[in-house]
Amino acid sequence: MKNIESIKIKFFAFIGMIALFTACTDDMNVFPKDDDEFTSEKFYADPSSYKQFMAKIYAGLAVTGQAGPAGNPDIQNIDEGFGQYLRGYWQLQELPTDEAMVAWGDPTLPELNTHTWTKDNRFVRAFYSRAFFQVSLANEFLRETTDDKLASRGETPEIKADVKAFRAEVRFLRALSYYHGIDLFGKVPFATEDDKVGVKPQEKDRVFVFDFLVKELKAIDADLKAARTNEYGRIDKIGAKMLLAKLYQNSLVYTNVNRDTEALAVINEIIASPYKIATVPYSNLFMADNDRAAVQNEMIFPVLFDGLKTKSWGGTTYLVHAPCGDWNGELGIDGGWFGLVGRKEFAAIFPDLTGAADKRAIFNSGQGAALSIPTASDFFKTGGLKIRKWTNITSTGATASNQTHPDTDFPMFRLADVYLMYAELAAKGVAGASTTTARDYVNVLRVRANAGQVTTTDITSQFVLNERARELYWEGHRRQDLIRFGKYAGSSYNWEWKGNVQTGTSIDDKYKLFPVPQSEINTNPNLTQNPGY
Amino acid sequence: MKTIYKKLLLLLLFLPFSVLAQGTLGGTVVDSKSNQPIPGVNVVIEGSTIGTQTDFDGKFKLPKVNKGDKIVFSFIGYTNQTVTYANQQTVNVSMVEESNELKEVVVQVGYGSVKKKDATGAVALITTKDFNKGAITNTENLINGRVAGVVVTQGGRPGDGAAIRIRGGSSLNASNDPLVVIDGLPVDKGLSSVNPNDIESFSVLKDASATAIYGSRGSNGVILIKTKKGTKKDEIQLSFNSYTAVNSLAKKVDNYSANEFRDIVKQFVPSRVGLLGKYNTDWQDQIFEDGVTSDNNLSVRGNIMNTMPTRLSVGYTKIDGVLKTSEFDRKTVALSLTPSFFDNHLRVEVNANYAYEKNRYADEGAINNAIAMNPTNPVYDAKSPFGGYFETYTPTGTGYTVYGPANPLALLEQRNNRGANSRYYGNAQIDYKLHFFEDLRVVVNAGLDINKREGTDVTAQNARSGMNGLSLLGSNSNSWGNSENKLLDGYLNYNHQFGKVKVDFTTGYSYQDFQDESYGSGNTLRVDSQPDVWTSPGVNLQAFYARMNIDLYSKYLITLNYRRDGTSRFAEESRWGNFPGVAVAWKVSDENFLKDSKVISDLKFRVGWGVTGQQDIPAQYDYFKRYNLSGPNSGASYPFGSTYYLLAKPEGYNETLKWEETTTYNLGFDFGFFDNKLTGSLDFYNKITNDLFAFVDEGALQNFRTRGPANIGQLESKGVELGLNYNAIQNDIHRLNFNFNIAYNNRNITSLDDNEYFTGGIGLDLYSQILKEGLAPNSFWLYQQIYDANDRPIEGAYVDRNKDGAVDSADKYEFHKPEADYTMGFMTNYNYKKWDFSMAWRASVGNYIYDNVSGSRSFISQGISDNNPNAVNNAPVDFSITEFSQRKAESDYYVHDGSWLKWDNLTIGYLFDKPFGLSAKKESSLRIYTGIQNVLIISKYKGMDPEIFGGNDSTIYPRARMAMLGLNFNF
Repeated sequence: MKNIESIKIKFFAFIGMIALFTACTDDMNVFPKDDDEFTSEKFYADPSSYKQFMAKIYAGLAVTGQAGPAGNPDIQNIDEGFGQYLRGYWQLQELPTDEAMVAWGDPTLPELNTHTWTKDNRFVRAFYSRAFFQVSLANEFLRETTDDKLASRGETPEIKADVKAFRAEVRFLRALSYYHGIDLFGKVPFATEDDKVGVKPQEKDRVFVFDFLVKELKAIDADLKAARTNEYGRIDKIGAKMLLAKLYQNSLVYTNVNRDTEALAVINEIIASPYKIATVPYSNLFMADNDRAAVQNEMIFPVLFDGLKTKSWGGTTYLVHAPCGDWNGELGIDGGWFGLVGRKEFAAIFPDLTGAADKRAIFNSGQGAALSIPTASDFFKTGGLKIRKWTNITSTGATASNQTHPDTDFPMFRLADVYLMYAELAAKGVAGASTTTARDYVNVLRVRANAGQVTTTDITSQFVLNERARELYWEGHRRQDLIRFGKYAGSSYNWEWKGNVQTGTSIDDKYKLFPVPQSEINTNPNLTQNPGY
Repeated sequence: MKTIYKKLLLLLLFLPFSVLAQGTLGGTVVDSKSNQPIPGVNVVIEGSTIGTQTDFDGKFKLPKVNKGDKIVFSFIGYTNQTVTYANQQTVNVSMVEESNELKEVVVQVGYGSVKKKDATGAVALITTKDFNKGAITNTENLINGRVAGVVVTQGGRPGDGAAIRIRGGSSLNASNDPLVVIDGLPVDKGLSSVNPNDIESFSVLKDASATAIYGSRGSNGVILIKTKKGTKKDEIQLSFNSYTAVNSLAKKVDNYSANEFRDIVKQFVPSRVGLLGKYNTDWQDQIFEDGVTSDNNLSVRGNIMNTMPTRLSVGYTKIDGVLKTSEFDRKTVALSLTPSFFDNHLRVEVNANYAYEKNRYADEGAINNAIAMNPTNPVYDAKSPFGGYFETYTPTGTGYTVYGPANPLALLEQRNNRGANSRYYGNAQIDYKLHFFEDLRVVVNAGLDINKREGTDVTAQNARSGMNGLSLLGSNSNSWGNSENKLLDGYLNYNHQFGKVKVDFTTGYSYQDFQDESYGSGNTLRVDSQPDVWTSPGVNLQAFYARMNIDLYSKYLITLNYRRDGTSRFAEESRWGNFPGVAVAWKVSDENFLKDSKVISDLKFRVGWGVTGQQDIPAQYDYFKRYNLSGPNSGASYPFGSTYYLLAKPEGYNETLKWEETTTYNLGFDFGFFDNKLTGSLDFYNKITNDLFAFVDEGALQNFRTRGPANIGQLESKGVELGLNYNAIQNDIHRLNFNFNIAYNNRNITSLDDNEYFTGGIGLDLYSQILKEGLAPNSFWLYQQIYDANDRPIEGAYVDRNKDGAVDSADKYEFHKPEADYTMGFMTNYNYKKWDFSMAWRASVGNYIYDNVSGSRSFISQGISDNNPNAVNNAPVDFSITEFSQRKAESDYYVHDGSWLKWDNLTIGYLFDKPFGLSAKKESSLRIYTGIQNVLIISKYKGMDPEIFGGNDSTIYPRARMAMLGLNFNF
């Protein structure tokens, strides 16, 4: 009997086990087990999470994902280096102008040199994805840091106060990307923290977004830290004003409404702020130690890089390597990429190429190649101005922390730009802007550059445009400047390979805007294409 | 043994007493061949509960026997014997072992098995005798080409696994791998650690009426593998199998010789003739070499103490690959115990396997570099700071600036990348037929699959590939990984004959859990190395299932399957899916009108329908929002002031993810003609997958990513499969057999919600293929090349297909597809007296290949003329046709017909009976054989090998040609 009993027991034990298994269905609720991965609840349980999230959004301008220089990208389906924010922005603002041309043949890249891009251009798409990825992150930050959410997590008053400032900064970063969006694409997909994730956003035109940005930038002023009281790298009241000034100054382009008067007021506020023109040699602004105190004076909003801790294949890694040829040893890097050059029309803006007459001419005078670019591709050895403004050595000549990824920071906004924005208004005769003041501002910059002084009669629009090129070349301003001065489309100013002709030719007005990437229109029927594409 | 015996005796106590006056019968039961007594034989009076078993000496005593009673002697593995009682005192019975040929052919169907002749689904059975012959080191290769509709793409890398596709696969971005089940344990870590010598059979379930019992895991078919077991036989059988093969490179990539290269550079990059050296180096000759494969296996089969059929097998495989420094070494132990107790009521099966694999991985970048490296450079350079290997460099400061591709031989020899993997897998199954209710069986199966791997990867300090910036550094990293797969299954099986109706009902529950963890140190020589442990959230799968087999009049068969499946990959609301399957079969040949047919010996007609699912997507829990924090040394942190902050990023998510569902219709015939001389199966199927998983583009502001998984669209597969086996000659002197199969498969994306996605990356964000409505998955999607009068492609000239005056992405078009229309397998075995001869062929028709070997190299700018002006690169000879100045990757010029016919294997053997004067009493044999693996490839495609998985040929580890010599010794 024993055996049968035990068998029976086993049988019922089995039935019991089956019943038990049904309780196992909870095992299907899985949670992150990795130390780098968190649920929302766990993540916000740590008060330092807010700053880490904000760091991600700042870093979105510098790195391309959760591992540097590459390995865990934010943007899929695009070579990770191509998807870097500054690299994308820089290419779109510089390659279609006289300041730069790239010798590489990567598919669709040469189109940017010659105004032959189509709605399928991969580099246009890369920047579009990156810019709005920033906006997505910012919106999410704002959703997760409302007063209600902070209260529900029982955050301390100190945290709440910190987060209030963070929110203003994140709104600035969102405004920056929207500004880049309307500058390059005109109309943009638009969503704020009030919109849900997973919803296809509506399209908004330049005027709508312009008004939104002006409102935003004014609204965050109260919560932003006073000028130069924030941690270096973070935005303050002046940073927001700088962006506002940029919007006002380009208002005619963006909205067909002239807002020079408003621009002047904000520009004056910025100039009156504690930011100062750095009294260091011009070249030091673009070196591996351009985060030292003397340079910080001028940096209203720098994007920071570090050879060990903040690495990508874009940003200053791109800006130091891409224009470099065999002279990599002199720039403190492990190899040149033989890609970027300047065009001869840009070279002509300088009195000479050796730097003797203007130290801002940081060129490879000994390169020996012609300035003229004979062929539209593969020309690095045969033509073009070799520019070495960006380096990875320090002002004392020391090597940086890493020979692949420079320590050099990128000035998104620096005060010299504002001086020239003032001069531009003065040259246009905007009420309240004086050519005398403008002359003084320009001469401050020219003294630093060891260039000859100018007089009030020199302050003309053409001079300011040229002076902006001399002072701000290769910092991502040229296309916007040429459009604002009416020198981009049409044929009032031609440069080599403009319009895909070596001698340069007129281009259609449609090229003042980039096309909305076709792949984006495919995913969102609310989006429409820009005219002509 | 003793206690078991006692238990058996105890059991006898429960046999009811009879009141009738009866006699007692005694006797002995022996094996007919050996005349040895057989213990444990069941001796039962037919139609009663009276019975006994033979004792250790084969003796029995059966009381209460009446005249005329039929006494049945039964024992597993032996044919039943019946004796009629005629008042005799004793009876001596000689039991005859069931021969393999006579045994009913049984196929595994998941949670049970059925007789092949009663199978209702599209099920193929491949047993040892059907396996591929020759130098097989990988389990998948045993069936490569043997089953219609099953395509196995075996890699050439030593120890490499194979990609298996059954009917082409049902998914786009979700897994298309079939479920592989070894002795009841579903495994997810491949078969490369499984010793092919241990495999008894494969049952391949192809249609959903059969795979629905595996529900969410059955969409891509199921392969049920049964390993070899011990025997009931009393004697110990040893088997030793061994072969050695010499591996050699079958074909090189056709690039320019040094002299041809000199001419190319002079003509096309005259500014760089200064970079030409005086050497003539064939870099492919430098990196490839002949290797040796040896495979040895010893197995012992027996029946321990006559109750414990046991098989123990040890194997040792060693492969030196054709690419220098690639090695594979595998040791396996497999133990199988299949005892049964209580009059076979309780059957236990224990399978325990251990495999220890050691790999040395060659840096396969060397293949690319050997194609591209300047052939006028020498291999070595005494002055080179890079360990004496020639490199192109200039001293820069204290370091070096390097140019062009790195020396391919140095890539191999200066790197030592090793991995070791221990795998323990197995299961224990208890199958208990209830004593008080014999129609009911309870089966509990517990399984475990544990992988532990460790690796070290060292690059020499003076290797160019180990440089940090301009300086020499080297690299030293280590890694480990652990994974665990736990299974617990339990089911009840009820089997009863109600008159002419036989019912077989199974229902059960399954629990499976997968965990994974791994570590990588990063380069420990760097200050910013990024050691990190990665822990998977794990995957948990649970299911309830049931199956009913109904057999009416032994002619009409009905199978009903149902499974309810849950997965941790989806949110609670969409977690569970229901998967039914129905099949009906009609054994036409058992009908009166065919019973006496001389032509048709067997004919069965099958119809099946079923729904299966798919949950196996890379994303493990995409349904809720998570945050990712960058690692402390990740190189992705951001400074505020002087403090660096880690970066926290919200991950994209999709709350609505759910099952992909595949509905399959199958119509099939199993037939045998001329006394089953010619047998085969013919199947027609139609599969429709809805709610396809696809990684879709998520546009601006839609999520926290630009691509993510979603359920969209519909995929349809249609096909026909024919498998034939013809035993042409069967006599004592000649045996000739042909086996042929052919499958046609056509997959088409019938809906993708108006989306299209590029696939088949060919570098630099370029894609050669597309997923698009109305096309086969991954169809090539390129510009239509325009050719000049001499049939040469005109660079950059493409057809404006939509005639809008501009050539842009709207002009790309579908140009063939990577998947074959037809796949075929052919094998023939011929035995003449003691000689045996075998050969196997496979063919693939209608598959196209994108030649990315040429497409990514054979042009001037950034190809032959390196981006760096200090280097020139070699290229495939395709350049002589195109003379492209720039990369024109998106031209359909690079798509070629990749149809192929492969002669996989040729084997010739000779069998010696009773070798070495071994005892005549015992079976023994020695077979010596020789053969060639990968004999011949016939294809129009000019690349290294047209058998390319996925359609983009971007260089593969070459499959070696192998010449082998081997022996099978059984004693």
